[in-house]
Formats: sequence, C-alpha cells, structure tokens
Amino acid sequence: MTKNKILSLFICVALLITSSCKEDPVTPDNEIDCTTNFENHSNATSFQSVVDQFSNNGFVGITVLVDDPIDGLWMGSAGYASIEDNVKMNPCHIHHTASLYKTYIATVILQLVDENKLNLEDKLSDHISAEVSAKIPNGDAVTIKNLLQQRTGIPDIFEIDFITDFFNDPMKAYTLEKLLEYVYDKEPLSAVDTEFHYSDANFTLLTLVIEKIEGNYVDALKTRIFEPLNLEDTYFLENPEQAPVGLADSYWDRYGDGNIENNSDIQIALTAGLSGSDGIVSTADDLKKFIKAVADGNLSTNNTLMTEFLAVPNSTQVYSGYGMGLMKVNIGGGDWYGHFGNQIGSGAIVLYHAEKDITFVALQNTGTFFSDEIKEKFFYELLRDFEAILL
Amino acid sequence: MIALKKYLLIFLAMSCIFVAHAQNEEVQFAKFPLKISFGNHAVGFPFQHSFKAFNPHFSLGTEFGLNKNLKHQIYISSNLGFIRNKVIGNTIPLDVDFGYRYLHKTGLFLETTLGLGILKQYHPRNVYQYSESNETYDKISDKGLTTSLVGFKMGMGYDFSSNNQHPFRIGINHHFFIQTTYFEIDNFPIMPQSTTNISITYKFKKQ
Repeated sequence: MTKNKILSLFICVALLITSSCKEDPVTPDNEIDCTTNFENHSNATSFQSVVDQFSNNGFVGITVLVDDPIDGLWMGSAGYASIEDNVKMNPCHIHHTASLYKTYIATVILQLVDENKLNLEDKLSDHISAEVSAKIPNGDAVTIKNLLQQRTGIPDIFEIDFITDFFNDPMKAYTLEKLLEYVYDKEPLSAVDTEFHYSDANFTLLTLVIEKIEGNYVDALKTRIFEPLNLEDTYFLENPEQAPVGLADSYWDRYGDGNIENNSDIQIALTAGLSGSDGIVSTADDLKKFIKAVADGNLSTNNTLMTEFLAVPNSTQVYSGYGMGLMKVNIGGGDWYGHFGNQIGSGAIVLYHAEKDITFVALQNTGTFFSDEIKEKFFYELLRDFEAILL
Repeated sequence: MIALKKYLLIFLAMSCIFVAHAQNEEVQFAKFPLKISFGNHAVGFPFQHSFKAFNPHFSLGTEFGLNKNLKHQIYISSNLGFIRNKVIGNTIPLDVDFGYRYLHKTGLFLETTLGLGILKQYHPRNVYQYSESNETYDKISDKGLTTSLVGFKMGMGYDFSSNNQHPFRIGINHHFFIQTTYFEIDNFPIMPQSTTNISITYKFKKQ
C-alpha cells in the first residue's frame, strides 16, 4: 500500500513537472498576466471612449498608453488580439513595431559616437565594404549624419520591385546585403544633404555600420538598450520561430472593403526577415520606457542631437521634421517627437511631447502599409483625438 | 528560365509530331475555335518572376476573325480563366482582346493582342467582418472583389491547319496585365501580373 502511494506521488510529481515544462504555443490566446486598473485616472472615460471608437472603426485591436506628469499613467485597449481565438486585446500584448527600429539604431549609433568608435561626419564608405558602398547611390559621399537624417538621396527599398517580389514570396528572409540590392546602382533622388527622402536603406546601411564595429547588431541592441532599460517584453526576432507568447495576431483589410484577413504568418516573417529595417516586437509600457530614456538623455550623451530636426519638405506628411532617427510631429497641439511604424499587419506610434512631458504610445494589429484610409486614421486622427483631450 | 526551356522543348516536340503527320486535304474550319491554355501566374512586370512561384493558370477561349487575309490575321478573342494564387488570391479573369497574327507559309506564327477585362478575385484566407450589433468579428463567406484589367499578350506558335494538315494551332504566350484597383492606396493602386502559357487551339471542321 505504501509502495502504491509512493508510486502515485511520483507519477503526480512527474506529471506536474512535465506539464509545467510544456512550452506555450506562439499565439496570443494564452492568458497573459495584465492586471491594470486605470479607472481612477481623470481622463479614463474619455480615453477609453476614443480607443473603443477606433476599434469599432477599422482596427481589429488597439492599445494606447498616455503618461503625463499631472494625471499619470493610463493604458487602455479595445478589440481583439486574435479574432480566431476570441482573445480580447489588452495593454500587455506584444506588437510589431516596424520602423520604430530606426530610433533604436540611431541610439546605438550615437552611443558609438560617444565612445569615439564613430564620428558623425565619417563617410559611410569608411565603415562598410567598398564592394557595397560602390553600388549604393551617392555611396561614396554620404556621411553617418546624412544617413541618420535621411538626407542621402538614396531611394527607398520598399518600392515596386520589392512589392512584386513580396507578392511572389511573402515569407522570404533577407540579409542586410540582400535588402540593399533593391537600391544598388539606382539613380539617387537628390544630391547628398540637400533634401529629405524617407528611405529604409539609410538605416539598413547604419545597421551594417554597427555590424562592422560591434560584430552583431542584434547583440548591440540587446546589450546597449533592451537590457539597461530592463525592457523585459521587448524582443528582437531573428527568425519567425522566435515570435514570443503574447504577440498579438496581425490582420489586414486587403481590398479596403472592411473584410479582414489574418496575415500573422506573413507579418512575423517580415518582422524577422527584413534585416536592418525591422525586427523589434514590444509592449506599450516598454516603448514608453525607451522613448523616455531617449528624451531624458539616458542612453547617449549625444541624444540631444536626435532632436535637431530638419524640415521635411513634403507637406502631405504628418511629420514636418526629421532629426536623427526621430520624427517631429505637429498636428496643432505642439511638437511631439518619436517615430511611426508602418507594416502590412500592424501600426505603431511612439511620441514624446517635450514641452508638456507627455508620452503617447499607440499599437494596433491592422495593417497600415497597404491602406491609405487606415494610415490616415491611425497616424493622424488617433493622435488628434487624444490631443483634444490632453492639451 | 529552366521552366521556360521546358515549355519550349514541349512546344518543339509537339510541332515535330504534327509536322510528321502532315496531310494535304482541303478542310474548311468553323468561325469559333476552342482555345485551351495552361501555364503559370506571377506578380510582376512583363517576363518578371514568371516561374518564381507555382501559381497554376488555366483558361478557355475562342476568337473571331475580322479579316480573311491568312498571312495578316486580325481578330477578336475572349478568354475565361482561373488562377490559383495563395498570396494575392484565387482569380477568375475574363478578357476580350483585339489581336494581330502574322502567319508564315511554314505554319509558324507570331501574334500580339491588346485587351480589357474584368477579374473576380477572392481572398486567399478566411474573411471576417465587424458586426456593430454584437461588437465581434464574424466569419463571412467571401464574395470576392471585382476589378478591371488592361493588358497585352505576345505569343508565337505553329498553326497545323495552315497547310490543311490538322485542325490545331499550338503556341506559347505571355500575357501581361494590370489589375486596378488592388489596394486602396494612392501610390500603388494597381497590381501588375502576368501569365505564361502553353495553348492549344482546336478548329472545328465546317459541317
């Protein structure tokens, strides 16, 4: 009898151990611990009302974070992290951040400048192979500073050639050099340091510079930013298998007709596959910590350089100035700086209002890249509606 | 490129078989031949990515001659097809083309067409729609998207009926077309696509 009891106990313990070791599937359908209560925040009702309105109007799921010195922190969500699994979006879900990557890369570059490993006036060709720089438009003339400020005249990667390739093989993974092939030997859009042209190639080249100096740019991001800031829910996806538990599913309204498709697998493949242009997934809270650290100068003594905004000539852009990996956004309520992230199954906004010391983060899981309507709503109307309450 | 070579080899082999069985009877053919095409679909500009991914295409069509000149044939053709594409969506194209065919006395021909058409395209994945009444996304049946296409074809082949041998014409052709609209965005509202096909046209004998 005692033997049976010992055997039963052993089996129970073994079962407990094996079940606790079982890995969770990579879907947002797991119950992630997200005990947040901002009901006492003075603007809670107004903020939540805006978020609800957006989730009912084209956005599958959305999370917004506002942190201001008077009323403190508020986070709220609406809609779904996964339609198929019936998982409601909550503020702890992880999101694709797309071009927010540029602000992280700019930060690492400025840290390397701090450490005298790099100079802003250095030529790109001093830090990458002659073989690559010879094929980059203006490659022999552009400096590190020109790349940070997107004043190189180098065309963007994500133009028609990339798009047609994408629709033939959406799961393709690119190395830094492979991605740069899209701009090899193209005509420059302007002479160096004369005009602003938004181009992911600028930051892919900066990533290549970091890779040459530091050995591995992903390690550099982790050791220089993620770990010092204790960004526990921020991950760099080097391959799709690394997608973390709690990552919200991605969707797109392909034809702009209100019919939504799940494109999570493609979005994850893009995040992981667009080396030097994408890769970071994060939460609203971690993104707040990051932009605050940038604003407070906690990451680099050169951080102030990031906010030397130069005018963006195209008046149709929501952002009117570009610094070093930072956009200046002004839609009537004063200057915000930060960055937008635009992808086929997600959208991300991280902004800091220097004058009012307010942080604004918005993350959602409906593609902005192929929809002007969603883009306009997310990158302009959402901020406008929050500004109306905040400022 | 390897796949294109395969198509050419198949085309040449078929040509040889039919030439070997040449006949000399005088045969009259009816106006509307039946054209069957099969090939591969790709997203891209002419001759770009033609065989990068396997997206089978099949179509049935016919044509109507506008002149009686055997050497310089002017015609109107129409094709109804089906494209299986798991990325941009399964598509049913229907096009009407205005064509010119140069037929050499050996039976070899070159042809080109300009055409317009419509596409019915279906989402490649499950589709959901937001329901305001219960604030959920409901799975709906996909009714597809109807858009227009404009495109051109270039082709070559061998007409076995030119010497009254067999009521067949075989060919290869590349059909480039632009679908508009695909995305609701100003800077990329179109979707350039192409199909590269082998076709067999059967000409019915006049009763």
